[in-house]
Amino acid sequence: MHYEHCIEVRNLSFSYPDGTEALRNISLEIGKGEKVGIVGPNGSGKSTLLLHFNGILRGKGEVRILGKGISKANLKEVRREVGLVFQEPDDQLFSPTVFDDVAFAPLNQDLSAEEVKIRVKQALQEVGLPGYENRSSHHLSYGEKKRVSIATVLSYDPKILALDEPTSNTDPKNRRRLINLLKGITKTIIIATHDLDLVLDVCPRCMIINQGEIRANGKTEELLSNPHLLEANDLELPLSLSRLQKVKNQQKIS
Amino acid sequence: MQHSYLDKYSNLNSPIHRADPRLKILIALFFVLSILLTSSGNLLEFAFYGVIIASLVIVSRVPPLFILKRSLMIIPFIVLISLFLLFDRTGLSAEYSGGFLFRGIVIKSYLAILVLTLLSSTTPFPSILQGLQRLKISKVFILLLSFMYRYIYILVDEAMRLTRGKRSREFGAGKWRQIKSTAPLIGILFIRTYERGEMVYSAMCSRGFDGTIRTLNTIRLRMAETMVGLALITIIVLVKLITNSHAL
Ligand SMILES: Nc1ncnc2c1ncn2[C@@H]1O[C@H](COP(=O)(O)OP(=O)(O)OP(=O)(O)O)[C@@H](O)[C@H]1O
Ligand SMILES: [Mg+2]
Repeated sequence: MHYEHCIEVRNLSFSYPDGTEALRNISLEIGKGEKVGIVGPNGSGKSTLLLHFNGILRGKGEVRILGKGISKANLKEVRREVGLVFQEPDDQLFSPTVFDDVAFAPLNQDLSAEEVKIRVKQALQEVGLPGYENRSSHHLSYGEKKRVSIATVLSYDPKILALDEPTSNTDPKNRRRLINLLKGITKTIIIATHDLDLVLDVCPRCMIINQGEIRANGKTEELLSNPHLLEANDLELPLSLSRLQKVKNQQKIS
Repeated sequence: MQHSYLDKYSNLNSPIHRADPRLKILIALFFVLSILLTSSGNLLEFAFYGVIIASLVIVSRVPPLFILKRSLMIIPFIVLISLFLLFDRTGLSAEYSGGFLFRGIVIKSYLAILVLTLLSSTTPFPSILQGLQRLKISKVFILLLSFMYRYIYILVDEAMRLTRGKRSREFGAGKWRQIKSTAPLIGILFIRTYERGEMVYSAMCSRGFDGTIRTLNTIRLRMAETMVGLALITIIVLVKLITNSHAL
């Protein structure tokens, strides 16, 4: 399939003020409508990379969103197109109630009151939390916070979704719901995660990143079923595949 | 982690809970003002106010014991602040002795606190914020309050986690060492708060924040409520008039 480029990164390097080199010479392309997983061990730079996609961090090199380089002038536009969900839900949810948080972006787009309410209701429905409008954010459990975080970007309908650990701490049923939701969405989606089975399920393509460098980039099934590659990057076979492997080995023996 | 929440019981369902927050804020303000403007010796007036508050508490269905406990927490502060009055001998007539003024201030403050505790236990904090906003209080100030409400528990949690982590590893260390290792903790708490602030601001910008705060109006003033509110104000005014005409 031919994709027109949605996100284009050229020779991106980034160091935190304390000198930690978090990204080294990253180049990648993500096509329109593509779903891409970014996997790697702790501290490999996944979150740092996502923060570049809507200009929160600006490293050396070039990041182009929908064909345009990110600059001060078009920051607002870029952020309108890229819905970013932070890894830490307490950073994402800053309003006193769930409603206020999910309505924050639609209100900033000056939509009508009716429209805002519909958007909020729909977004909460999609993450499986209908009727949570009036709950206080700090009373929610971690998994609930995570799902509300996702609703806060679904509500304003950006063209690109960049999700940092969308399934962390969610129970199996809601993880499944989330996976189905992500599979059903036709937007461009980038997911940074340790949940390799999620990547296997949702993303046809994935990248392995380690120590700030892209170590592999290709078909998810090929990369995530390659034990040597995974081991070299401090990762493990996804559960579903390792089980399959065991069955195969047993068949060979018998 | 478990906290006693700022606005526990604020989600009950009673006529007071349902009322427009603006109305509640204004009445509470009026009530507090009339309490503060009472002369310190007018015990009858204080008693009447106490009765009004008690009836409101009953109508609100908030456990009276909770209100009592909440409001008592503030007493030590008031006593501490007004303690000097007890020893003040300058420029006061015999009638207005220090002890007399002290008693007056403690009663006044306590009644005022009761009113405010009732307000916060019958109105979820977000509604109070919305009420304030509709009363044209500065939006920056409201945003400040809203962040405080959202993050105060997280801050407390963070402080608790830090001290817990410290305690579980400082066994065997002497007292002085323990105190010394607390200082960096405060620094870390400050840095974490600062970094959280940066992240939250990024999160707001990510979702199109441009400096103006937009909110949806969901509160509506109902006729019946307004009437009840006016009646309440009338009662307070009447109490003031009657108890004071008596004194004359
Ligand atoms: N604010 C910061 N200041 C300094 N260094 C940082 C900061 N944030 C992250 N780092 C460092 O940058 C590197 C990449 O961090 P990043 O958060 O991008 O990793 P990650 O792949 O998202 O990890 P995880 O899987 O744990 O979420 C790490 O070495 C980390 O210690
Ligand atoms: Mg991360």
